Amino acid sequence: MSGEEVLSVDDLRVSFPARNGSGANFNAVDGVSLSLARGETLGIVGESGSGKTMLALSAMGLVPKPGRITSGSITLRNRRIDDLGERDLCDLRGREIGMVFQDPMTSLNPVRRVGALLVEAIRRHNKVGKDEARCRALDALRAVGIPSPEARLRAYPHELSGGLRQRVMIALALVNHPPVIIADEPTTALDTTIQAQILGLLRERLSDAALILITHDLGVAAELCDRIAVMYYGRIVEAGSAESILSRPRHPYTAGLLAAVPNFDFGRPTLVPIPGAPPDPSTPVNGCAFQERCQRRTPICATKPLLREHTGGLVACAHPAEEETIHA
Amino acid sequence: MTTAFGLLPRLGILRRSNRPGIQLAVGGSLLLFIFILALLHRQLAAYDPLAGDILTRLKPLLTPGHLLGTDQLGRDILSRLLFGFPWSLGIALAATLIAMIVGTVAGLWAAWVPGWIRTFINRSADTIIAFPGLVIAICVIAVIGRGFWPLALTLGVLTWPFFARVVYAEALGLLQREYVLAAELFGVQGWRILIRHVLPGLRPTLMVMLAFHFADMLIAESALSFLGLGAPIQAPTWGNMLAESRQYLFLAPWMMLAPGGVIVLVVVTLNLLGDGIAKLSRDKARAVE
Repeated sequence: MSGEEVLSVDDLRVSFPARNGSGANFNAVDGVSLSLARGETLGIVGESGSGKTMLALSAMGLVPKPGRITSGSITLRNRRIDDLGERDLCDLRGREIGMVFQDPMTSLNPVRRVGALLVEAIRRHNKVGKDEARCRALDALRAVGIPSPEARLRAYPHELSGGLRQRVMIALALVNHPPVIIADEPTTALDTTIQAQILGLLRERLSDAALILITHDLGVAAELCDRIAVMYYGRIVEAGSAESILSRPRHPYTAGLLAAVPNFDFGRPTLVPIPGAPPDPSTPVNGCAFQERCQRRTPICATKPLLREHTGGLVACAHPAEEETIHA
Repeated sequence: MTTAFGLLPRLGILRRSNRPGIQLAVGGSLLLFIFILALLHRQLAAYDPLAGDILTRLKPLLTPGHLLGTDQLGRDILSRLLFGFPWSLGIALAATLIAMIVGTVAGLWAAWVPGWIRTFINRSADTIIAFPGLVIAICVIAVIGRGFWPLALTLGVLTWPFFARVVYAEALGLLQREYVLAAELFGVQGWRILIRHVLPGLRPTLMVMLAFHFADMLIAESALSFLGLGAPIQAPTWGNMLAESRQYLFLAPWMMLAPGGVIVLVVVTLNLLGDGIAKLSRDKARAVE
């Protein structure tokens, strides 16, 4: 997809001191590069602990302590943000980049009314009075399809259903019209029918903003994303257009993920799990992080594979699937 | 006497009741009654609390014109009791508010800023709790003298660590909540996070502590006055009245009954309220989850 680049991350590393107190560091995000254009939707797919959320948080300058960005750069609308001070970062958050969380129950303050949260977010970035902010808050609730928004403004989060709460969360993220939105598993806590509604809403509302959709649900990614990046052990192992990744995975991990999606097409579920478990992110791995679980493993996998161009996408594997073998 | 003894077990039932409504209703109406007495003490008192008539000294309860009797200088005990409301409740309330404000600010600050500030605040709190309060009180009274504000300030400064510790522990937990992170992601920063996103979550705890601490401060105020370390000697605080009654315990036991009874009444009221609020907020939290 073409268009001006709004967010780019270049060779980002986020390190944490190891818990055993040895003084060693481990990388929760290990050399990740990505770029995002206006109006584009990028899916980041991976298991728990693969560094997806850490990547999103560092893009907003909120690496949880004691972690820190050790190398690389983040550029938001032609402005380096990884070396900005806390004050400037706070000005960016919510205005230039918004975030939707996984669980709207824990991410909406239970003792504050929905209206108070919205008004606070609006007045944080706009010099407007209380009444004007209230009007905008109403508009924001209407825009995400919340029925009787006047009443909802006075509601507490626990008085709303899960779907409504997530709509409030989206309204909060969108209220200042940031050009980049990060949605961290926005539908994981919701049931399937509500999921579809929320995904539809996200797609409809994001005609001109760029969206990073973090998910472990390949179905959700397939529905919404233009491009997909697959993360494993803090690294991007495969990236490319959504269509090519889902139909012709080159990395064995991506192929494994796809095979592990339950398939009810013929009345009986076929589900092939990936053997083994992902490596503990706090223990160092030499070479390819996936080699322990990989069927295509050879001695060359002991050296770390670099992300390289392969059949129209990017893949970090010494033995990517070839075009012929996929079709066979 | 039978009615008084019959009341005690009933109070027990009230305290153990699992329906906060009754506790709040009883405690609330008693508190309202107490505050009305405190506000209208001038209008309700029949005599000047400081002017005595030596001819009517040490009159017993229910003497015509002196419902609660008179003391050793012939002052009307009911009037003194009423004028004691603003003194005793005022000192206790001021001390409680000072302790709550200082303790809450300190606790929030300690939870927010790790490092030497947290260490400093927490160690200061430990030091004050470890220090015998009476010694500090004697020092303060010796330096600045007796009076309303010296006593309120001393009690407040001596007891803020109780608020600070609870607020620190709770705020530390609340700061880990995802909604605090979410607020940061919407650009909210610094003290606004503490005031708008952490403090509202502390409200039930603070209200319960307020009620119990108020009761504690009332007892502390009375105790210090009783020891001659509190309000000015002629001021009609309940502690002073108790102190004076001690010498006449056998001659005029009613002198002790009135201030003692009213201290018990206020403390029971505040405990009922505190219990009620605690149970109510617990029930509410359960309903939400």
